[in-house]
Amino acid sequence: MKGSPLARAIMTMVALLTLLLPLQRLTSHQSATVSAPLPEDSIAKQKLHLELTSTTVPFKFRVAHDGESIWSGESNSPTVSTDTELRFPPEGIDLVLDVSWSQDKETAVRLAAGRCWG
Amino acid sequence: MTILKGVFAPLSFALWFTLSASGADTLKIASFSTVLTEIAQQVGGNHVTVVGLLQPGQDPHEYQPTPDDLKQAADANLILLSGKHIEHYLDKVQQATGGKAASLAVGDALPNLKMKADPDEPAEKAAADRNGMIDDPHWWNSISNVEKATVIVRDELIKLDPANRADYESNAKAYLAKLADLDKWAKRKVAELPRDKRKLVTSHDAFQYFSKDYGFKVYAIEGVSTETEPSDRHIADLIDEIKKQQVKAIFLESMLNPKVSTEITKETGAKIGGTLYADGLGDGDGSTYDGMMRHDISTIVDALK
Repeated sequence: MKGSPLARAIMTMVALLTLLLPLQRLTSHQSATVSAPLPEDSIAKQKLHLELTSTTVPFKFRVAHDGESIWSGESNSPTVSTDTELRFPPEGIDLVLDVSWSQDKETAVRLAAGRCWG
Repeated sequence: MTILKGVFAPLSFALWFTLSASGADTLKIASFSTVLTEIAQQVGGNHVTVVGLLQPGQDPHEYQPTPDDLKQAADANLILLSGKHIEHYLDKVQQATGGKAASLAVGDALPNLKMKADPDEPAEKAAADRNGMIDDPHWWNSISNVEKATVIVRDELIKLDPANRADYESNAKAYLAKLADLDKWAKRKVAELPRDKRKLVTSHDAFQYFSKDYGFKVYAIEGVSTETEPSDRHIADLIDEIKKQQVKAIFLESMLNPKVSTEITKETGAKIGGTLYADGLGDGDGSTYDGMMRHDISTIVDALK
C-alpha cells in the first residue's frame, strides 16, 4: 500500500470479515440461544483488545464502529494497542480503519482484534 | 449577409461533426437492460451507438418489446441481454433478428443465487428447476457483479471490433475505477449500520445479491417478479416477522404500487424508509448506476439506523 506525499490523503481499509469470524466464534454461546433479537440496550458489551501495526512510521489512524470513532491518534512506533468495550450482537461487528502516512512508500498495515482476558 | 455566413459556417461544421461521430463505422448495440446500456456507453465511447430499448424507469419484468424495438434489435451488431430468464420475450427477439446479430446474455455468465419461483407465473414456472427454484435475475444490485459485467462487455466489444481494443480497455479501466470507488464508499456507509439491524423489507425480492455483499437479511413482500401478487398468508407471516425482528423501516420501490407496503407499516409500526431503485436505472438519482446505488444504500442505512 502507498502512503500519501501530502500526509492528508487518507488510506481507507474496512476490516470486516477477518474480524467477524473469530469474534463471532468467541460469542457463539449467544447465537445458540437467541431466537428473537434482543432489545438494543440489552445486547451485552464485549471487552476487546485492538492492536494496530504499520510497517511505516509515523502514522495517523482512526478506528470507527457503527459510524462512530472509537480510537484515534498518531504513533511513532510500529505497533499501538488499546482496550475497548463494544456492543457485540450475534451477527458480529464491522470496524472501519483510516490510516495516513507522511512518507510515500510501500506500506503494510494490520488491525488485530481479540478478547480481553482477565 | 456577412453575419449569416458567420453563423452558418460553424453550424455546418457542428452538424458534420455530429453526423460523423454517430456514423456508420460505429458498432450498433441494442440493449435490453438499463445498466448494460450505461456499461456499453461507458466502455464503447465514440466507437459505439447504443440504443437502450428498455428505458430507465421501465419495469423489466413487465416490459414487452414493440415492433420498432425488435427492428432496432434486428439492425444491431450486438444485442445485450440481462439474462437469468428476465427476458421472457426472448423468442420474439430471436425471431426478429433471425440470429444475424450477436447476442450476449451478460447475467448468465455471472455468479448465481436461487430463489423460489412462483408456480402461478408461467414464465417463472418454465424456468424453474426440479425443486421449484429459479435464478435470481437482479444481479445488477451487486457492484461486484457490475464490475464483472463491465469486463464481459469490454471483451465482447474487442472481439467485434479489435481495431479499437486500446480504447475499449482504457474506457473499461476508467469505469471500473469508478465502480471500485463506489464499492469502497458502499462498504463504509453500510458499516455505519450494526449487523443486527441489517434487515431489509422490500416490495419485491430484488436485493439478494446486494444483501449477500453487505450482510443483510431480506424479507420481500412479493416474489421474483413484480407481477406476482402476495398471498394473505404470506403478508400475515411477514407482519409477524417484522414485529419479531423489530424492523424499523420497510422500503418502497420506484416501479411498484406502495399500497401493500403502506398497509404493513400500519400493522407493524415500522415506518416507510424511502423508495428504492430495485429493477435498474430510473429518474433522478437513479439516472446513473453510481447515483442509483448511492441513493439505495443511503436510504437503507439512514432509515434502519
